[in-house]
Amino acid sequence: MSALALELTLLGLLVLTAALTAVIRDVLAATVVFAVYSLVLSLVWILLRAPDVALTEAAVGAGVVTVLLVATIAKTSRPTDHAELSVRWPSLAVIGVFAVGIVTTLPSLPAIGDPTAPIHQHLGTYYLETAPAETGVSNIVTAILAAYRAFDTFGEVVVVFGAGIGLLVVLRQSGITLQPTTGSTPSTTDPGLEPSTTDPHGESSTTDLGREPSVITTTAIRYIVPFVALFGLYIAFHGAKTAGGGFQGGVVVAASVVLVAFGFGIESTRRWLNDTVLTAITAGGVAAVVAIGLGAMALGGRFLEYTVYPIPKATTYGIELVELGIGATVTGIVLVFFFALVGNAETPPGESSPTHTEESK
Amino acid sequence: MSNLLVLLVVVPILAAIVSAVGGFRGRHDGWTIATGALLVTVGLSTAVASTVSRTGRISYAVGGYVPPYGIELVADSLSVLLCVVTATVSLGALLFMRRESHSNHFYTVYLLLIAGVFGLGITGDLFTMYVFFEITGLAAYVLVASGRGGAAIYAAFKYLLVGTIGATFYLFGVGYLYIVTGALNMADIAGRLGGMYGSPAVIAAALFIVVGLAVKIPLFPVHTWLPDAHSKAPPSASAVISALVTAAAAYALIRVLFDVFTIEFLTATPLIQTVLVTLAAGSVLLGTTVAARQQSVKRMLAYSTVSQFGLVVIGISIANTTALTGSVIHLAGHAVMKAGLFLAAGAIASSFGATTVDEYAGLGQRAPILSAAFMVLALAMVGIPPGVGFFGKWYIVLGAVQAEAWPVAVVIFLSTLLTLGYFVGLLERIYFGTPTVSKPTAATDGGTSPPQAESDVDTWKLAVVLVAAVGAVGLGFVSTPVAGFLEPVIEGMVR
Amino acid sequence: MIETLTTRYTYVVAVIVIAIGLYVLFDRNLIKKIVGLNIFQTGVFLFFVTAGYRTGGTPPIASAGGGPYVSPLPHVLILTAIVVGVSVTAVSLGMVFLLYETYGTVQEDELREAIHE
Repeated sequence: MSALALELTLLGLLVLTAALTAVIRDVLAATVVFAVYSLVLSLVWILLRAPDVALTEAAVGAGVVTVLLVATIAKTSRPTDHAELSVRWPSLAVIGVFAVGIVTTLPSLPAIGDPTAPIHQHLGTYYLETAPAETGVSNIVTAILAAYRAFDTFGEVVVVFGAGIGLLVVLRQSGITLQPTTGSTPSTTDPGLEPSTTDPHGESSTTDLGREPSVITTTAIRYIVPFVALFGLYIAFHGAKTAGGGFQGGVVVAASVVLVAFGFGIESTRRWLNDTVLTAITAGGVAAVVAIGLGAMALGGRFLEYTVYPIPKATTYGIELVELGIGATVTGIVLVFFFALVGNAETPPGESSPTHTEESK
Repeated sequence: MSNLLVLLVVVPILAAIVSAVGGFRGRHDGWTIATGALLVTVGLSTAVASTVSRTGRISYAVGGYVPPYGIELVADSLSVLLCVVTATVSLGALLFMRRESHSNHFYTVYLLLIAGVFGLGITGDLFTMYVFFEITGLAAYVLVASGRGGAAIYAAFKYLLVGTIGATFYLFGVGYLYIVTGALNMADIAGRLGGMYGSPAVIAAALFIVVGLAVKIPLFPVHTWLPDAHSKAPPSASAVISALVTAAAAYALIRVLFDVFTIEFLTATPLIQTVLVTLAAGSVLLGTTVAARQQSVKRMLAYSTVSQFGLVVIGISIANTTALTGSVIHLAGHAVMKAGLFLAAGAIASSFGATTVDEYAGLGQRAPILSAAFMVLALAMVGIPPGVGFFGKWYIVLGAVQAEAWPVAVVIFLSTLLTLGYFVGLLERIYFGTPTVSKPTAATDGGTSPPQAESDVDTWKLAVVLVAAVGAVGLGFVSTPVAGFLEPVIEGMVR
Repeated sequence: MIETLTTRYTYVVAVIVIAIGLYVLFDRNLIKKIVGLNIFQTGVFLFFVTAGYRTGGTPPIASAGGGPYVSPLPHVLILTAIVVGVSVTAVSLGMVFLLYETYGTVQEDELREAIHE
């Protein structure tokens, strides 16, 4: 298959999956198609020579977002309709006009891939030429992310961190905390909250799904998880040399824990996860970035000015440490997302699950 | 010395992390941590302000990488004004919350919001602005959601959706700019944009960015998320969001229009100004008329924000020195006045259970000091001198007259009259109304006590509202020097 | 214009995806809205990364072979934007879950009724 044919096929698949997501009425089906969309998009990123973005898209879009969406769907209603597909023609028309309007602006942009385009001059050439030598890091994307534009990345870690804490604040109202619902954990900040479920069996023989964990799943996961975790660490540590970096690595490491949770039981995994460790990596990651930044200022330089540190290859180490810090926080927060949204509020064994079908209008 | 600039952002974030860790460990020291951090930022912003007044514009290259290869933080008199107002208003709202009990995590999010607003005020890079918009936005969505009841969550959800769509449109616009200039630094883009003003890509960029910011300011017709969000949030959150997040968005609009696109582009593309002034006039009229019909005081205040920012954007779109000065003064003054009003409403609601216009009847006797403060703030908001609201509006109207934009001047006059109408109506209830039969208020004070005396109002809340009222008037007196302080920057923008 | 579009077809795809995302944002189901928000954002991301592409370019990793490289800056920006996007999504889903707990529905029209009763 020629490169052009491949490209057009992928782009066509992209539009197709996006369109399907739009017209499928059932939310769960639409979400699954969205996951496929995200995977196709990762392939498109690779085609556009953006491996870092592809990694992130696959891990985050097809991975984290899909899991969170499915978890939310599982806990809320799933209106199923008689019609499988539907289109709202008036909305489509309005948006269509809008889209055509945008398309008319496209000719005034440089052609795609044009090497004389402004995007390949100025900043583009500067980073490509200077970054490897000045930062000692071959992955130029990582170099920009963690050095030249480190302040943006700092802001981004803060967003991630804030979202995790924010989710906890939002969910507080219904008594959801991160604490597992049974077990010997100490009281939380709010002694007045009732645990939302009780699991009389609690321990390792049954999962909170109310049945025995399948031998196949647990064995498979037991073998797979170490490799997944290792791969995640590899991506995080090696992001300076090859494609990858803190974000992607952090998500994959978190994914390995999520895998354990799916196989062995969400509540039991939550109990197994040491609270102190979780807090340490989540807060520690961001704090490390702040510390590196402030340390540079204490030494007389600017915020995050690595070259001020009196060690050889300061910039390279600075970049790698910052990436690790990011990875740590991302791991922690993705686990916060997961356990806050997926854990808790599990139906106790024996009760009917909360899904019910509704008539949709 | 210019290191202080980055500390404005880093200190609240550091405090937020400390507060979060404390929260995980079951501590309840969030308020103390936050107050400490914000006190520091008050000091920092004042120090930066004095430096800027002595030496002019400061530039700070984060990481030591020279802009535009690295990220640049910039402080001129405009940013400094926003920062000082942010620091003081957020500290005030925090002190107001002294006796309320919130988790450490709540204070973490509060601190992140303030850090975000500071970041918006000092960034010189368009993409960094996007990141900080998201920090601020996320924190704001969460704070709204922490209000009581499902209605707050729904309001927060709508705010989240609309806010994220707006931020994405903003990003889309930045994308266009980046593609045609290859730059992200504001000054850099401005330098490279010349000669491309007619290009559809540049116009598209301007429109998308304006739409994105219009969502956050907010501007008619994408303002619909605001009344619910601001009225359902807890009082301190409403105060801070209505005062600061809106101001930061308007500030961003000024920066982008005049420092990135420049006045030459605006003159070459009258479409932008026409769109802005029309939407802004719509905001003013709609905000005022709907506010007048509200029973809930908080919703009235929320719609008032819409109309006030309509005024601010009118000043921006007129784009002469006088009008722009008025917009800046108004967005700063509004922050103090609106925060004060929301806090006062919060104090009244929690101590007296009064949330609607009718329930405010007779408040003048039961709560003389609180009512007086409310009156001062309300009249300042209407535009009665010497309140700061007068000066902002006056400059804007003057600017409109100078630009011979008569319809605009008429709109402003009409709205002022209408605002006067509903605020005076409220004040009349407060002072001359007969108290209605006491309603047990289950939601606010957790008990069923009838309206209490003013001595039961929390001292901290009373003090903060009083300071706000004094500030609203005091700022009026310093409006002229402040205008002088801003003049070099604003002149530079519109010439 | 059609001729110029043939050298910009990925941009057209990006615009189509943006449009689809906006369309899904107006669905009545809150969870679908969030899916739509994600699609909408990825459209803008596609716009950026496509702009950084260079004919015959290679990924911007110095050890993986020589130039000419595609522009690395869009990748950096979009990496950041993707992570920001998932953060907002997570918080939004928490809100949706809470709304379901309180009102028993995630359909916009039913919610509006339930709240204004």
